[in-house]
Amino acid sequence: MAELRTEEEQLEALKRWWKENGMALVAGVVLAAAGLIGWNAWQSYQANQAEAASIRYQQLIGLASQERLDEAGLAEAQRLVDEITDAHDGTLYADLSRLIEARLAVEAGDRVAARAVLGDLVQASEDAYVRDLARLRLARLQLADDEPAAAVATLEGELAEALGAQRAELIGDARLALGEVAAARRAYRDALSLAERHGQALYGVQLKLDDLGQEGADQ
Amino acid sequence: MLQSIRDRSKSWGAKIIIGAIVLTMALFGADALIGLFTGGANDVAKVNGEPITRQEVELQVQRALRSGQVPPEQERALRGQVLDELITLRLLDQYAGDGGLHLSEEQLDRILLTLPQFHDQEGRFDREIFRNRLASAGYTPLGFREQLRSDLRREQLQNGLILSDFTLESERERLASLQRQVRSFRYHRLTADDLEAPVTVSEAEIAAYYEANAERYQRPEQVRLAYVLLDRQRLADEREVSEEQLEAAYAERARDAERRVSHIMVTFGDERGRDEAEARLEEVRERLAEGDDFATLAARYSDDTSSAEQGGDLGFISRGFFGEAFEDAAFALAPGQVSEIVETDNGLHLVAVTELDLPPLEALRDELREEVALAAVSDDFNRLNQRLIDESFAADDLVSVADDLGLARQESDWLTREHAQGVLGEPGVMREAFSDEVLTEGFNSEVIELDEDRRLVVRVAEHRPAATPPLEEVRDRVVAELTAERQQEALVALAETRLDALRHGDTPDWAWTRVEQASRTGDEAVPAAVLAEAFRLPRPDEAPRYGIASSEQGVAVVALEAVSEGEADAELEALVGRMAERLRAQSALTGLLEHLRDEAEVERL
Repeated sequence: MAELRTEEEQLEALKRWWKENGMALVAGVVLAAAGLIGWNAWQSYQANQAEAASIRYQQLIGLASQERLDEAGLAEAQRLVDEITDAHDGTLYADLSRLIEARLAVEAGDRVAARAVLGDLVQASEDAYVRDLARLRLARLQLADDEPAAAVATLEGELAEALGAQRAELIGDARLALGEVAAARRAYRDALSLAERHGQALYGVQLKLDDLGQEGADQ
Repeated sequence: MLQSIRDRSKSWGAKIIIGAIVLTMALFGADALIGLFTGGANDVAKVNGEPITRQEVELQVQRALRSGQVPPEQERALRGQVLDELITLRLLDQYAGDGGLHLSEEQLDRILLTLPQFHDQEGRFDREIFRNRLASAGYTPLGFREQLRSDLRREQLQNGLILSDFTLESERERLASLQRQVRSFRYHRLTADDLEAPVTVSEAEIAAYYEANAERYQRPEQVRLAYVLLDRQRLADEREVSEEQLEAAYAERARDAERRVSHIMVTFGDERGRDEAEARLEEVRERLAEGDDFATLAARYSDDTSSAEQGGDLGFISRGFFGEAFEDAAFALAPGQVSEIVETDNGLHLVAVTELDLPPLEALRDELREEVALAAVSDDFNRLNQRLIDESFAADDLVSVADDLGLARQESDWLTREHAQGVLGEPGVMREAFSDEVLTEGFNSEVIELDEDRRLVVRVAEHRPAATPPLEEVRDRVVAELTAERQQEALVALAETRLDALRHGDTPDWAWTRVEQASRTGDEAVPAAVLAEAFRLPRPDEAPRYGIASSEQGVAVVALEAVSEGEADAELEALVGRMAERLRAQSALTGLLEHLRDEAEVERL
């Protein structure tokens, strides 16, 4: 702006600029302010929602960590699970609550309900890892219900590598239930080597494997 | 570019954007915008695009070092671990955040108030304690809240994964039945005597084995140390202690020793005045002076009837039971002496000491000598310690320091970092010996405070790096190990031929060792390898199942005869169920971490 020499000229230029651009500037400011306020309101709504979910979930955890739940406790837990899945669908809170719901159903002796919950999660959870966990647990219920073929089907397909050892053990259980001893032995061996590779410990796989005896010794 | 902005600034859109920028600057300061474009130079890693800064790593490293659990020379390794840990935590935070896990300020507040670390003695939250604790741990209140928030969020996640796992009745039953299974078997150990010819190894084989296993024979990095030890005890041992000092120390002991006392008590009150009582005791004193026996007089004069019958004897007393006046008198007396008249609440007394609870000086001589000597060398020790600090720092060798201080300079044999004996094996010594200053620079070490009474300075006399010694030096070991390995191979080969024969109905006249109904945990008499093999063999039908158990302890042929269900054990059943569940939940957690790491984009800068 070296060409504007006097103060008078500068002031004049500023006024002109304001006349040309003032409205736009004000509009920009107003729009930004409105955006900010709206954003804050949205954020605080979200925060309130999240807090409500967090508090409910925390209560559920409190119940689930008790040694045994009585009727009232179970009902309360179920109410919390329902609230969380209804109001906060799509969050991890909802997923984890449903996993807990399945456990409570198992403990109440209701494997049908537990399978339904886990089946839902396998279908609908947005979280790949939760889906995989649910698959493993569903397969265990299927094995307990004497449906090894269904368990194998549940376990097939892509699954988080880190859960491979658990899957291999369950496949071993399923194969054994189907009478396929050699395949079961292979699966248990896989489970052991996968567990070692991932630095995990699995209780019982070695026992199950030992109980089958080595191949070659079958003569 | 400026020109193009100016051109476009005629348009409404651009004007609105500029308005927004102006507003952002006005509300949040220019930093908010600048921060968007700069930074990054200080980042050590990016986790899914989110940076981890050098400061974050440093903060944790310093915290760990200050806690004293990590020796400073491991700082480098620690830094790597801290970064890994931060990346893991960041991944979990992101996962929890993306999943909508959240803790509000109010929730945080409520939890903060319950943390016992910040409670006063009445168990209430105390702001002052809160601030002090945080400051000493190197946290700002805000930083601590953020940390707590992520911790709690991660905890919510973990709790969900762990508490949602379950164990089915059928699973519990199966594991328990495997665990409690018992097996009956017999086994026979093969020994070197069973081999047709003893195992021999040739020179070439020895050389080849040495080559192949060179790593095993490697000698670790070693040092020979020169050292000077300043030991208060040794100073005391060398200190002369005179007979007078011993006697003075004994007298000191005698003054406070428990003592057996007798007394003669005369009461006064309504029936008898104080003067009268005093006169009565004066009479006793006269008769004592004439040589009468205290005990006899006590029986006659004392108003304390219970002790009077024992000749006034009160037994052994220590301070604190008989009142100050009485005790002052008693503890001022030597055995055989009688006090002046003493007044207590009970009346007037004459006190005599009959015996001290103190062994004679001869019996205490060594103990007293040490006591006197230790007290006497205290100043010397402090002075020598100071000189040791000064001179070992200044000197270029250890000999002059030792000579100057009149201490012995000792030398050790070759030592490794882990294996040092005696004073050099005490905590911290080898760490100092292998420190940069001492090992590389060749300085005297700092003065190491082993305990209250001992100071040590070490210096590296000789150093040799890790190396593989020549074959001649380790020949014996090589031959022994190679022979053992060959022998085991030969025994296994022998066992295999025997096994074949057994399976074909051969019955060797072996002295089998029988084991009835062994459980998995077995008993100590059965070698672990044998037990493991017995539990690995398939169930026998008609004939036993044969297998070979081979371990460093030897080779044995195992014949499994029967497998049966062990006794039901509810406790065991519950235990195996819980154990399986816990391990599975643990795997679900570590599995999540691994899964996140696999999926994430982690960039180390």
